[in-house]
Amino acid sequence: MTRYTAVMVQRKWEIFPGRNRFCLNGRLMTGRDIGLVSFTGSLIVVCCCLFIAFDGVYLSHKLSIAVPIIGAILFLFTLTCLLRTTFTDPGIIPRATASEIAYLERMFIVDPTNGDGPTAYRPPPRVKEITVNGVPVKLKYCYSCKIFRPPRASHCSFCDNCVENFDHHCPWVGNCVGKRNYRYFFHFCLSVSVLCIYILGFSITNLVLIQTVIIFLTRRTVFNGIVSFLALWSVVGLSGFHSYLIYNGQTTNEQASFCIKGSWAARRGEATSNPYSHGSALENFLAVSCGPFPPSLIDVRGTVGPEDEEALALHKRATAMPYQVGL
Amino acid sequence: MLTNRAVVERDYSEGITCRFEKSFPVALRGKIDETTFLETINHINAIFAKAEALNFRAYLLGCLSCLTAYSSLLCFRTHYEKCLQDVANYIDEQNSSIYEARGLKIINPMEKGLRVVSFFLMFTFANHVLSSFLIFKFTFALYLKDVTSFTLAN
Repeated sequence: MTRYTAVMVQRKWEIFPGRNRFCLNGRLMTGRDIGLVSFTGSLIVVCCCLFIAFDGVYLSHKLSIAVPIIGAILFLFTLTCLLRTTFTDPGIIPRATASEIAYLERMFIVDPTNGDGPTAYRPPPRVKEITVNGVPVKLKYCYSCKIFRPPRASHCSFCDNCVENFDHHCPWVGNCVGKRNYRYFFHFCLSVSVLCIYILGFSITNLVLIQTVIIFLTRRTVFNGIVSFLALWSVVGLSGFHSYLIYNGQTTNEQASFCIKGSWAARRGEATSNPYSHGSALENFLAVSCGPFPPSLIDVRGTVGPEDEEALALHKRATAMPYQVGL
Repeated sequence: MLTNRAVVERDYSEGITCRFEKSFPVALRGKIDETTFLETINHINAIFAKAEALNFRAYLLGCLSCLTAYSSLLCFRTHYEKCLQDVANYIDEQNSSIYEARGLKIINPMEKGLRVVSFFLMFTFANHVLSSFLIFKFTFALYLKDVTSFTLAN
């Protein structure tokens, strides 16, 4: 690719430092492994198509035309949410630019008389203390991205990016779940739960109405019923868990670290509340499912300029010769 | 080596919505007055506050896009994108009307991933004199092996 840079425009996604896949010239992006998400997607598509084409048609004669139509609407909504979660930038924070690295390095020049050798730089302090809504919060320095991570952000080890409001890296949707796609992920969880209950319910109804034990005639219905029954437990559990998190205004990442470190209150030994909660459970729910749509901070469709190449070289150099930690 | 930009960082004291600090950077001292700087930062903060506001309008737009299975996002620009355009327009206008005449240029925070608003000190004659002076001072400080105190003081 680099051989043709003189004639072809090189886009930023081509030199993107994280481990992501890009499709359609950077218009869509996703995580590295798409094996499980293909499985998830094809399972949903196959089950729903079988349901609508066979059970749905039968039930539309026996019960109502609404059965396959509602099923189809649910199916389309679930599929859209899945595709949105998978192919949306989760809120990746761009790595430090060349000037920002230079600025940070300059701020932490070590006195050469200390005898630290020729590398007269020390790494920036590992944490920066700030307060968010009156609650003390530590911002950690990310050695990969060369930035102080904003509150709630975390570095995804699968994708090698810092992600805003990092929730978790979900292999079933093949992407990180963060600020920009948590809404789609939550809606996917909810809609796939409803879809499972719907398919299971109408599969059983179908079997009751047919009143036959010939497995050859009912094999598709039985297959649908078994798949949705098996999936039901995990997706309903997941929806419940995320509803609980939204009720509290937390992310999975924070919840997981609280299991180790204790809650907001226990951490400091004083009565503090979650500084990121919007107040009530209803407001948290509305903010997650109907709030504003934050923009993508990585300009992956932009043209590569000299500063981007410089930054990439600086990041590569830093990876090859990591700073001595704990000087 | 030399400071050729002043940086205004994010202010998280009132939550993680996009707000920038209102403390006047040392590097801008003598170039613009503090009220002009505060006016610019407050205006940028106000646009971001409008973009991220959780009000009835935001919820209505969110609900509508959800009901259309997010297909409306493919057709229309979001409220946030319009606000980002406002920020870009405001910065351009401020640059041409106030800052460029004083050898400064505001860099759009979107270029730095909404981490900082940076003020680029352009290479004017006054800056040239100042940077020559700083190079001299820095070299001299190195000579005196007093670099740490120099960098901390600046």
